Amino acid sequence: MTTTEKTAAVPGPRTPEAAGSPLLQVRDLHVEFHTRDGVVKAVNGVNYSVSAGETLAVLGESGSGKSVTAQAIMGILDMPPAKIPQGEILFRGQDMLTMSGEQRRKIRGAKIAMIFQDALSSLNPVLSVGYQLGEMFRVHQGLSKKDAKAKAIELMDKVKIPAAKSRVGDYPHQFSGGMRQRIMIAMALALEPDLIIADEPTTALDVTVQAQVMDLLAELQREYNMGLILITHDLGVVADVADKIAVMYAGRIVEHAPVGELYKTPAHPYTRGLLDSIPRLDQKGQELYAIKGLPAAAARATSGRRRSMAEPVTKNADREPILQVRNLVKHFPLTQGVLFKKQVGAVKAVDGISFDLYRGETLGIVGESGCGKSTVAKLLMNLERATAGEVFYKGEDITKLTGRALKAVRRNIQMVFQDPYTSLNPRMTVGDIIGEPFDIHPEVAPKGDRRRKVQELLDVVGLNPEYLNRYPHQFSGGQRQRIGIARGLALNPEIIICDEPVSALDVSVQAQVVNLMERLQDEFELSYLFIAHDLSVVRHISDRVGVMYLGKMAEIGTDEEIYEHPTHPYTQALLSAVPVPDPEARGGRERIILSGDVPSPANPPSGCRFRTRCWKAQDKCAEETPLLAVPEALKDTGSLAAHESACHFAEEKDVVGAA
Amino acid sequence: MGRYVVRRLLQMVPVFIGTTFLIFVMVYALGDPVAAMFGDRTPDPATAAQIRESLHLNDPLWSQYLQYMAGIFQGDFGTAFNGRPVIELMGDAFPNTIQLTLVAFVIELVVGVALGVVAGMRRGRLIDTGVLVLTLFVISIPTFVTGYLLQYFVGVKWGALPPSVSTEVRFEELILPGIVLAGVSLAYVARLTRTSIAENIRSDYIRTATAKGLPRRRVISVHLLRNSLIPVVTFLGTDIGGLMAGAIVTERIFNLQGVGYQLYQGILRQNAPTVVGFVTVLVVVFLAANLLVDLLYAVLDPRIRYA
Repeated sequence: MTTTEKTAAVPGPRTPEAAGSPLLQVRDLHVEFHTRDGVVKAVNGVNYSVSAGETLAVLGESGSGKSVTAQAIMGILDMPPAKIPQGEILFRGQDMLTMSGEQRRKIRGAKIAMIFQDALSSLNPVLSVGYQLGEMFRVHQGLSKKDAKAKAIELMDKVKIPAAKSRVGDYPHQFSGGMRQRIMIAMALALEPDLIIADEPTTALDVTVQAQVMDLLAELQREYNMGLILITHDLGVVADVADKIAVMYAGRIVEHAPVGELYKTPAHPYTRGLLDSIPRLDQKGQELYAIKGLPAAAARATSGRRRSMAEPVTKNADREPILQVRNLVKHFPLTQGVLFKKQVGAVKAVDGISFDLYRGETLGIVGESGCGKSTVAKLLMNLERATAGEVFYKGEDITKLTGRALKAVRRNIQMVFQDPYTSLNPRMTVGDIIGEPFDIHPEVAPKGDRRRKVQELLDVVGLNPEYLNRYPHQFSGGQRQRIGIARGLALNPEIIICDEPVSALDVSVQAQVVNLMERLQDEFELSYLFIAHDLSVVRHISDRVGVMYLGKMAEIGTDEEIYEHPTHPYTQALLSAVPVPDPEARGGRERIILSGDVPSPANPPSGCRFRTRCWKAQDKCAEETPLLAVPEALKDTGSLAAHESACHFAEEKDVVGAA
Repeated sequence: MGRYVVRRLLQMVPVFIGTTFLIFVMVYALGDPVAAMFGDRTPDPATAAQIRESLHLNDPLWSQYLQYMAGIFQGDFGTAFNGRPVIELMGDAFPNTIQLTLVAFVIELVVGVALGVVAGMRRGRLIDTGVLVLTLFVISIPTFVTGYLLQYFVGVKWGALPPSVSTEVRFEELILPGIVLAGVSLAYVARLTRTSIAENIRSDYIRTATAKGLPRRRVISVHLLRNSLIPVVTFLGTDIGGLMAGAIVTERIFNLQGVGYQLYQGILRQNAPTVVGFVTVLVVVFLAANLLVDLLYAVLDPRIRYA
């Protein structure tokens, strides 16, 4: 069940239907936070307005004040410590800041509703979704419990939650991420408000689900002719749906323009930097632009040689792989029983994966959450024992190694983790964190030499070597990830496994870290296994890309083969779901929107695992598991589509619209 | 859920056997029960031997334990030092202690949670500091000090409440001992609630509830309280057993003839059946309270599912 739709080309911004006075006007808004360390001015004179049926995108990185402005509009800032010393927020011409608390409460939820980023933490975990939806009607309209429940079911139908009637009593944790975000949308929509504020509504979701949710939101907005303020840092999403854009930086709006204009001729240098700092799905770019005005040490790291486009990636055939993965399997057993646990099934996290990693290359692994990509990382590090299969490092199977032999291999395979906030011990100094690998492998750096080694490493990743005695909390997110990289480099490894190394970072910081990683690869001849869900970042950094789905490899090839000549339907859907930061592309691109969620890896579909969401699925797909190989039909064409793909009906399709 | 309860009940069996056996051994290590029976007088050796025989004191310890346990399941807890069956003493003592525990529990729950909510919502303000200092006082002053002070001032000097408990055990007589017994636990409940509330009030779902336009009252009572009380319930549940067993000091101060009083007498007279019998019942109470807490947990938090 998949819909393929082609939206009509929309020239320029849509004109708002209701002319005249806008629905909401923010005028010269200032917000301050009074803390023990002094006054933090989060918002410094913001002006913007939204009319009915119009979408305003507020763009900015973390700390730019975009969410604080939204919370001021909703009236949900904690005051104190927050304070609004100046400004007006006019809703239908009336200043909400001068209203009484009770008047504002009646507007909240009923006239202006908000959708939050993380639906799991934003929904009350101990109340059923039906109760939480029905609460809107009970409180604002005084409906009875029974009527409210009926309304809740109606709403769940509206946002296309399957089997709404039987699921109304379920709790938030029983829904998938996409379904939870639908519930958040339903809640905001309940009383048909005039204005919806969506704060990063799809950031926590996988791309194919993100496409579903954004689609739904846009559809409902049209239906109810609502105003929409979309707060995001994702330039792709903005280009897809916004009419006008306000770019925020340090509590101010630095640029405010209709969407077409902004992308074509960004006036402010920050906007330009932002546009250049994001890796694009449809272009294999040059070095990413790193925004200045950040710590000097950080900016320094961007200078470095970037493999240029003219220098083709050497074909792998004549090279010796450094890491060979063969039929790797990891099943997590599910057990049942009181005293004697008996196995009743298994979560098939990784179910027969094979690939090679060559010296000096970057192999990107992409896939949605739950596809097993992080488990692969753990298996390669031997942090989890493989259920079956082999991993050959220089010809030696490392899955069976233990003790000293394993330790020796691990020296050469290091890891960089996803979240730089939790993967560094907060009670250790940076020097101790980076130097810790030397305690385990003292042969790399003798005792007296350590301090110098650590300082060298800090210098290499673009941090001041004098920061040795500082603690992780004294650094920004990007700097912390540099520390994580320095730790990974400490032992001079040959392979670095990066598990979502930049997904927790803002785009401009992400660009710096990606640039640093590329420079280090050239400098130290590293091989990267780069695991990520962000297809654009993977394209930017990878030489070859593997696409995973439910514990299996769906397709693998060079970046050009995968991105410009994908043959597996899943890859095609995945690529088409990624919003491209170019408003002119929004009409012309074909979008494949997959329905439903990824099935449970404990009980995967028979045959081809993707068949339940695939529009090409036939009986053969259920009976016969497609093997990862170059499809027969494409074998002799000599085109780039002739690469390994696990589909019975592999066929080339350009979904990116390559520039 | 049913399977889970059965499993838990089965798990209780080894715990029950283990604890009772431990108590049994320890009480027998206290000394010669026959000598204790005669107090200061030296018993006639023939009589002593006869008593020994009738109480199976010459058998090995494990055999004595088995005989004792077999008796328990037939409702025979043995004989106390004064010749009355232990089961009769229990019949007198437990109702008194349960009443006292209930009074203390209600005070602990209502006052403790209320103080915690108020402090947690006004974190860092004067009232929060006030509650913190107050609970610190209550925790650090021993029960017998607060007990005697309250008894003297409230009971004797001002005469606001009866200073001790009569044999009829009237409700108003239990208020003062109830407050004393609840004191320390109440302080813990208040602190636990405060931390939990302060943490949850900043959570995303409270922000959502506010953004939905719910009145503040509803945000607190429906969304905040239920989530915040989950850890408190754990403490309260395990505390029921603690209150019942811990009333020894309080019962002595206010002259209530409850479990604590009988246990004290049993230990003093080295009467094994009394001590083992009462402790055995308390063990069961503890186990039952723990099971109840775990089940209540699943009711309060749907994310916890037992299978």
